[in-house]
Amino acid sequence: MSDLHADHHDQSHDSNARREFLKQTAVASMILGVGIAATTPVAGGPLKARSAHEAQSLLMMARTLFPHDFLGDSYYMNIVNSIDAKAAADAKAKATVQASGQALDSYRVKFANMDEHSRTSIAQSVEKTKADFFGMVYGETVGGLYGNQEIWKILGFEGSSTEKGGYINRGFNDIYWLPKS
Amino acid sequence: MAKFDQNDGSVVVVIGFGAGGGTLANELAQKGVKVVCLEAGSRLKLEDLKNDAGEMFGKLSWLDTRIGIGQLPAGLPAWICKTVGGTTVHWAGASIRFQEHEWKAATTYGKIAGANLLDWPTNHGEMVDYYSKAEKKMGPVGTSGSGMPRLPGNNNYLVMEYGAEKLGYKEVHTGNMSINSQPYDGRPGWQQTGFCMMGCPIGAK
Repeated sequence: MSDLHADHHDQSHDSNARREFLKQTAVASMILGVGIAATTPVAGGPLKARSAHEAQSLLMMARTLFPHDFLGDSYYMNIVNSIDAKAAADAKAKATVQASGQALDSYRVKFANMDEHSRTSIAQSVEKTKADFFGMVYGETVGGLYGNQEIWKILGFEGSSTEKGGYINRGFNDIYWLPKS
Repeated sequence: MAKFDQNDGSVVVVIGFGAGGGTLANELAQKGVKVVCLEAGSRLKLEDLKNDAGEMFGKLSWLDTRIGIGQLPAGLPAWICKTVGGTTVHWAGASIRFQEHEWKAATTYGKIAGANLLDWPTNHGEMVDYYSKAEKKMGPVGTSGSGMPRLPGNNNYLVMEYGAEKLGYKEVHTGNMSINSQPYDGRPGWQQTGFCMMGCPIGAK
C-alpha cells in the first residue's frame, strides 16, 4: 500500500486506471489480440550505472507504462539494461535517469512495491514533471517490447512475410464468425 | 548519367523524385526536354526493403535534426523518407480523386468561423483528364485507367464492410490503391505483404 492513497484499490480499480492511462498515452493497437501466458525468470545482466534497487524501479516503470502480465520480468529487464548502457555511455542520459530515480523513489514505499494504481499515478505525474525521463523509458520500452521478435511470437504477430509469399494465402481474410450479410 | 552545362538555361531541374516529381520528370523527358532530378539520400533496391519496421525506419527516415519554430515536441524526425523516390516509398498508395464539391470548399460549406476555406482556382472539369492520365501511369486499382479490380479486403476490412452495409452505406470497397492487384506495367501483383509503409519489396506498389 502506498502512502499516496489511503484507500484500498482493488484489481478492477487498477484495471480501469490502466485502461485510462493506456488510452491517454496512445498505445499502438498492435498489443491487441493476446492470449498466451509466458513468463521467464529474470535474466539480470551486469548493471553498469544502476543499483539493483534503481533497476527494479525502472523495470516497474516500464511495466507500468506497458503492462503485459503475461510477459516475464526478463523482457522488461532487457529494457533496463538498455537504459543502463545508455546511462553508462552518456553523461546527459545518466543525469536524466538519476534525477528521475528520486521522482520514483521519494515515497515511503518503494515504487516497485506499490500497487498498480499508485504506480500509474506517479507515472502520470512523472510524464509532466520529468518529461525527458518519461520519454526515455517510454521510447526504450516501445522499442524493447515491440521490436523484440520473441515477443512478436507471444503476441501472435507473424512478422516478415515477403519471403513466405506475403499473407495472401496465409489467412489475411479468414474470419469465419461474421454473419453473412 | 547525362551531364549538362551549369549555364544551360533549357534544363529543367525537378526537386524530389517521388510520385509527383518523378512523373513530371518522366513526362518532360519523353517530350525531349532536358531534365535533372535532385534527390536526397541513397537509392535503395527492392532487396534493400525488409519487412521490419525498425530496420526500415533507420534506412528510410529523414533523420536530420528538425529545424522549425514553435513546439517540436517529438524527439523523432518527421517520418518522411530520405531516399530516391522520397516519401512515395512508404506511401500506402491511396489514390483518391477530389469529388466535385471538394474543389469548391468555400462555396460548399460557406463561411465557418475560425476556418479559412477557399475554392481551388480550378475545377473538376479542368482536372478530370489529368486524373485519368495520372491513373494510367500510377495504376490505382478500381479505375478505368488501370483496369485492375480492387484489392480483396482483409479481416479488419470485412468487419468494417459488414458494419457499413448494416448502417446503409451503398458503396463500400477497399479503395483506389496504387497497388497492383494483378501484374501491371512490368510489376507483379500484390501478396498482401502487410508492410507497405516499409517500402514494397516486390515492387507491387
